[in-house]
Amino acid sequence: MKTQHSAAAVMSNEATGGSRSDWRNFLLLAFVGLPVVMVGAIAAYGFVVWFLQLAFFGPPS
Amino acid sequence: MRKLFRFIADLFLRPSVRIGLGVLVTGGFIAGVLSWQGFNTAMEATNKEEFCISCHTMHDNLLPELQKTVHWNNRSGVRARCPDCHVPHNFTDKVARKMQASREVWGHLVGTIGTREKFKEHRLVLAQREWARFSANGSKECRACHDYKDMDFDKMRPSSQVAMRSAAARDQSCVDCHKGVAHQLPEMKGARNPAFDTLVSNASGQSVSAGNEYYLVVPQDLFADEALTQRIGSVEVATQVKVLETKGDAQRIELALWRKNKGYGRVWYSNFGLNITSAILDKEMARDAGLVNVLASQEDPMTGLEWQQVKASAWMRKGSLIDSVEPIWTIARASYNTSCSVCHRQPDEAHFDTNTWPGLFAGMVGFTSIDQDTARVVLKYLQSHSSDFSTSQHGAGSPEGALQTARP
Repeated sequence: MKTQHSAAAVMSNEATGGSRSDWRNFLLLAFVGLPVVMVGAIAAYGFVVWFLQLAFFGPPS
Repeated sequence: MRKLFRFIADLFLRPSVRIGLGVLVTGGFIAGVLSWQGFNTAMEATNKEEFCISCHTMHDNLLPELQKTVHWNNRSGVRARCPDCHVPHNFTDKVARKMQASREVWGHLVGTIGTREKFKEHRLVLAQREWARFSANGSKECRACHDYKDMDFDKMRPSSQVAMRSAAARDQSCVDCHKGVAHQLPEMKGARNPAFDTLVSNASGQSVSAGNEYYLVVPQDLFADEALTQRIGSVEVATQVKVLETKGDAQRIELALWRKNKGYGRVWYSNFGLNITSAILDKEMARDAGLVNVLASQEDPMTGLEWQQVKASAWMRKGSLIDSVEPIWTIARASYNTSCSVCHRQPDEAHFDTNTWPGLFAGMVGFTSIDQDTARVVLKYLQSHSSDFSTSQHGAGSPEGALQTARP
């Protein structure tokens, strides 16, 4: 069992690059990736509303 | 590309082996709090006066103008900053407006309004855009501070009370009347009514045949020769003319109008006894028997003046005639209804007679933002639909007899 477990751990460590890369991925995603996506999504929302105003609705009431 | 997808899929689907769930959730929570706070801080920073006037167009043009008004400083020490009026306060409209500002950033980079002169040139368009926004939302931003429900009308001057009480009853947009409260007004001189563009393009597509009657969609100069070099006068918008011939870019038209036989008789009117200006000839031409053909004379019993029925032909540039006067009246009616109802209920067209309208109109038009061309059309519309031409109740005091002789 023990050997099996450590073998699996070694395998997964090899596949993912270990806990170090887990930490790197987590921090990049939480503090860089998702905030950028959020700002992008809000900007896209703003543009869509603006274009809808231009094309159909006119200035907001 | 494939690798990137694989990486993202792994990132979301494969569980972390070494980091505890609590640590991940806590870390994500903190990151979320920080980024949302950061976003709001950035929104607030771009909504500050310092940010607005950091661009020199705002700093050099709008700020000094604002500083002369009550919105900059006043006895109570409450003041309006740029975004208080110009950025919507709720989230969706605010974000949309901020994205719309990408256009302004582009304008700043290209230098569309980089100098005071350029700014003044564009000012009317910019102002109209902002007025349209205020009229659509009922001046919501103004009313964040000045709302009808919080006004004590009794404390207003009596003359203000009349206007404000009826405005409140109609829930009227503030900027309908209060234009130019925080910045200088644009020069209306170059203003054009875009409605005329359609009319002019319709006119250029109008097929014109000799011998038929048409109406002018814009005022035109009249010439004695086909080369259009010798100017003899001008003909007004919505005047009915008969086309005699078309040669190249020029068109010979016949005017059949009336004039007062007094002085030079330069101003020609469309009907007997009614001051609806239709053409204005130059001094020498108006008395030229070779040009002007007097058909008949008649005395107006109201004024004792002698009126002459006159006929003349002249050349003008082609492409400004249409076969029906109704499209012109439609524009005039729309303009009359919107511009005049801003401050009071507009009187019925037939409430006054033709010769009363010009005086009334001249007294009121200064309070509106109607441009000169539109004003001429609106006046002519009112005169042509006055009690003199109406069969309704209002027609009582009209010079009925005069009209019967003028009409065929």
